[in-house]
Amino acid sequence: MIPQACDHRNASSATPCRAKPCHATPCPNTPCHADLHALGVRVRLEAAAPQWLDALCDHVPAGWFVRETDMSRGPTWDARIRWLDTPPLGPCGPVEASSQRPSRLLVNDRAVIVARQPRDVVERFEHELMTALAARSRWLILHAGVVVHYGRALVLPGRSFAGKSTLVRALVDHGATYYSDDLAAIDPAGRVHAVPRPLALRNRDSRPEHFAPRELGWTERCVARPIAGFLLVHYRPGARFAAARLTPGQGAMALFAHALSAATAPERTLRQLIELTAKAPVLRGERGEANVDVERILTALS
Amino acid sequence: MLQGHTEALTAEPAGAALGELMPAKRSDLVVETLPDETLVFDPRSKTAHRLPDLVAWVFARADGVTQILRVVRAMRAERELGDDAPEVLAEILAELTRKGLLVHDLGSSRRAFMRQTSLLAALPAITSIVAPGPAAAVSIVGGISPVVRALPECSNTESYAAIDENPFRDTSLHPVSTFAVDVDTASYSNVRRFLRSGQLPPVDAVRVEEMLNYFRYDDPEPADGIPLACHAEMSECPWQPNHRLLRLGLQSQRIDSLSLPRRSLVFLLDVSGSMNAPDKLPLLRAAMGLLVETLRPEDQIAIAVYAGAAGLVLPPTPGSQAPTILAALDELQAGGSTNGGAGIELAYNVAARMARQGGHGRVILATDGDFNVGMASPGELVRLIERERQRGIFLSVLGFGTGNLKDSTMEQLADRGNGNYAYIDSLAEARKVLVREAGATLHTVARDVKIQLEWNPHEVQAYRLIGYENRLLAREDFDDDSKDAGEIGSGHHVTALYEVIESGQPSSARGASPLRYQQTAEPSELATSGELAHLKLRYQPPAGGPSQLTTWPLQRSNVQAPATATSDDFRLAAGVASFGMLLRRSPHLGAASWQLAHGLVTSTLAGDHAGYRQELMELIEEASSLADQA
Repeated sequence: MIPQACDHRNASSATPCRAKPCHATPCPNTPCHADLHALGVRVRLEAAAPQWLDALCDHVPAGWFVRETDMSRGPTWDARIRWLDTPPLGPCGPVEASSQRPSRLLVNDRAVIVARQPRDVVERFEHELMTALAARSRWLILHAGVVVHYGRALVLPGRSFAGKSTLVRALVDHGATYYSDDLAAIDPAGRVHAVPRPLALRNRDSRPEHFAPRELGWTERCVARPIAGFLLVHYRPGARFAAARLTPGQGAMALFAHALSAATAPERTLRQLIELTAKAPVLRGERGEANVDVERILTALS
Repeated sequence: MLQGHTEALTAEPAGAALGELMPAKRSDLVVETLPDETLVFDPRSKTAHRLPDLVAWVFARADGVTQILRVVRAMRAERELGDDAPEVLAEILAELTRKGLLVHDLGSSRRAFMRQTSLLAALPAITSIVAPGPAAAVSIVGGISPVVRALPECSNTESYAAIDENPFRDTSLHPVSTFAVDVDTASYSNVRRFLRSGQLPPVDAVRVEEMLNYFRYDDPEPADGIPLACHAEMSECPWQPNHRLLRLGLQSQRIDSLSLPRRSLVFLLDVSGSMNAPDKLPLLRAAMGLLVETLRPEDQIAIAVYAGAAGLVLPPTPGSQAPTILAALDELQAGGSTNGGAGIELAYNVAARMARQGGHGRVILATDGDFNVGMASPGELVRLIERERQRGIFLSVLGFGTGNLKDSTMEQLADRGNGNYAYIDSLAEARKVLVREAGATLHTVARDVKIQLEWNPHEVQAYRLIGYENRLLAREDFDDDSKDAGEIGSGHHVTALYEVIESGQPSSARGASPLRYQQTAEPSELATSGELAHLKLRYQPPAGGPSQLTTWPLQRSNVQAPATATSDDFRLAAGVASFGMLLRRSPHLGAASWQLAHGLVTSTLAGDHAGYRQELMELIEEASSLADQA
C-alpha cells in the first residue's frame, strides 16, 4: 500500500511494517530494511520509513522474506536495493513540499528509477527486483505463465497482452494448479518454482482484475516441479489450437526473447535454455478462445 | 557500373578461388553445437544466431586452414550436393560474413568467390535475435519516460525530419484548417521494421497520418463520375472523454485493374554497394518480379540503374515479354559507389519517350538512401522533379533496407514528384504496394487534393489536426491551383482525425489570452444552425486543368455517433492514432495507453480481411513490451 497524502481521514493507515525486522519505534520516518532470499539470491531492501518499505514489500511473494539475518559476518546480500528521497511522512501521511527531490530506486548504487511520484517507483519495482534477481541468480527467469498439471509444469512464455493470463486462468479452471502469472522461475535442476503473485486479467474495459493465488489453487505445499513443456502460442480470434514442435535450437532461440537474464548474462542464459530444450519440448502455434482450446493444449503438452 | 562489376567477376573466375583457404570464424564467439544445428552467441553485437544444418556444417569448417576446394568436395560427398556446391558454399560464406561471424580478412580472390552468389538461393536462413541492452535508469519525473533505446551500435546514418505536433487551435482566432492530403504509407512499415527488430522507433520516424492511411477502411466509393467521396463521423475521443474525435474519410473511385489506362513505368534502381544486403537489392528484384506478373500486354516497363555509372538495363518493353523483363532483373548486381551520372535524367527521358506513345509516364526510384543520382545539389534534384511533374511525369519512391534510410528526403522527393513513398521491408509489403494496391500506387485519379475545414466557433472552441504536420497549407493556398498538394490514386483512402473541444466544455488545451480590441458579433443564423464545420475539398483532374470544388456542411446531427455505437472504421482510426501518439510520446496523450490502443483495434478484428489489423495488434504488444523495458 502506498502511503496517502497527509489527510486526517487516513490517520489510521499508519500501520506497522510487516516486513520489519529492524524498526521498533513508532516514528514514521525511521529507516528500515527487509531481507529476501529468492532464486538463490539474497537481497536487502531499504527505505526511509516503514510505510515506504511496506509499499515495496506488497510486490514481493510472501515466502521470499527472511526473518532473521546474521549480520555478524558483515553484509551478506548479493543485491542491495535502496529507495531514497521519498517524501517525509507526517503523523498521517507524506508531507508535500515543493522542494522535494524526485525519489530514486538504486540497485547496488546504480539508479534504475527516478520518479516524482512514489507510486511510479512502486509500480516499476517488481520489474526491477526481478531484473536484479535474474542478473545474479543461477536460476533462469522467463516472462511466462506457469500452471502444474498432473505434477508437471506447463510454461507459457509471452509478452504483455499476448493472452498469457487468460490462458493460465482457463487452464486453472480446467483443473491445473496456478504457479505464476508472469514469471517462470526455473532452478539449475530444471524445476519450476511457484511465484505466487496475483493473477491479473483485463476485463472488458481493459482494466486489470486481480485474483489471489489461493483462489486459483496455489498453497504453500506447491513444490518445485519438472517441466512438461513450453508453449509459445499466439491468439487469433476464431482459430483452433495448432502447434508444431521446434528443434531444441529453435526452441532456445524462441525462449531467449523471454528470458530476463538475456540482457545481463546472455551466454549463461543461452546455455541454460539449450539444456532445458534438450529435455522438454517447445511448441509454437496459435490458438483461438482459451476456454475452447484448453483441452487440446493440455493434450499436446501431456 | 553494372558492366564494370560484371567484368570484375569474369576476370577472376570462381575456379581460381577454389585454391584459397576457408575464412576463419571469430575466436570470441560462444558456440553451442546441437545435433543438426548450432547456436552462436556474438558478445560484440549481443546477438544470438541459429545456424541450420548445412550452414552449421560449413561454419564448423570455417577454420582458416582448410582449402575451399576440399570443402566443396566434401559437400558433394557428404552433403550430396552436385555442381552447385561452390555456389551454395559461396552463399553460406557470404551470409556468415554478413552476420559478422567470420574474421574479416578476405583476400581478393576469396571475395570474388563469395560474390558469385546469386543472393536468392533457397537456403535455410540464419535466424538471429538481439539480447536486450542493459537497463538504463528510467526517469518518470516528467510523467513520460524520456528513455529511448539507442539504435544498433552499427554504423547508422538514417535521418528523419523533426515533427512538431499540431497544437490545439482556438476557433475564434484560427477558424480555418487547410492541408494537402497524404497517401504515403512508408512510416507504418518503417515503424514495423523497428519494432520487429526489438527497438522503439525514433519519434520523428512516426508520422501518424501515414500510419492511418496504411489501412483499408470500409467507406463507400463515390457515385458515378465523381472521383472522390467524403465521409465524416464524430464521437467521444477515446483518450480524452471530454473531447470529441472527428474522422474524415476520403475514398477515391476504384478502377478495375483491367480498365486502368496503359502504364508506362521506368524503374530507376540504386545498385550501389550499399544495396548488397538481403533486404535491399534481392528484395527489390523479388518485388519487381511480383509486379511483372501483373503487367498487361499494353503496359510498358523500362529499368535504369545507377551506381558507378548510369545505364539502361531494360529498354521500354511490353508487359507481354515477361521473360525478357525477368532476365534483366536476374542480371542486376549490386556493387560500386553511388555516383549516378545522368541516372535520373536518363529515367525521365525514357519515361517521356514512353509517355509520347500514350499513357502517363511514372518514374519509380528504388533505393536505400543514396541520392547521388547525377544532380549537383539536392535543390537541383528537386527542381528537376518539379519540372518533370509539370510535364506530366510523376515520381514515386520505394525505400529499402536499414541503416542508411533517408526517410525525410524520400518523402520530400515523392511529394514534389506527385507520387507516393512506400517503405518495403518484406515481400509481403512489396505485394501490398505493387500488386494488391497497384492501382492506388501507380494510377492517379485526382491531383493536388486539398481539404479545408472552416470551424463554427459557436459549436467548437478548439481543434487539433492529428498528423499531417508537413502537409499544412495557408488558408489562401486552398484556392490557388498553382500550389502543389497531394495526389490520390485509384482506390486510395485518406483518413484525417481532428480532436475537437466543443464549446462549453472545460479545456485543458493551452490557449492564447483573450484579445482586447476584437468585437464580439452576434452569432449568425448559420452559426446557430447546428453545423460543426464547413468542409471543402478541391482537386484537379489527373491530366491537370482547372480545379473542382466540392463542399459539405457537417451537421452535428449527421455525423455524431454515440460512444457505444461507433463504426469499426472510427475505432480502428482511433486505435492507430493513439498507437502513433504513444510512439511519439505526444504531449496530447491524455488517457491513451497501449491497452487502450490494443482494445480499440481488437474491437475491429471482424473486418480484418487481409490480416493487417492482427499484425497491428502484435506491433502494439511489441511496443508495449519494449516501452516496459526502456
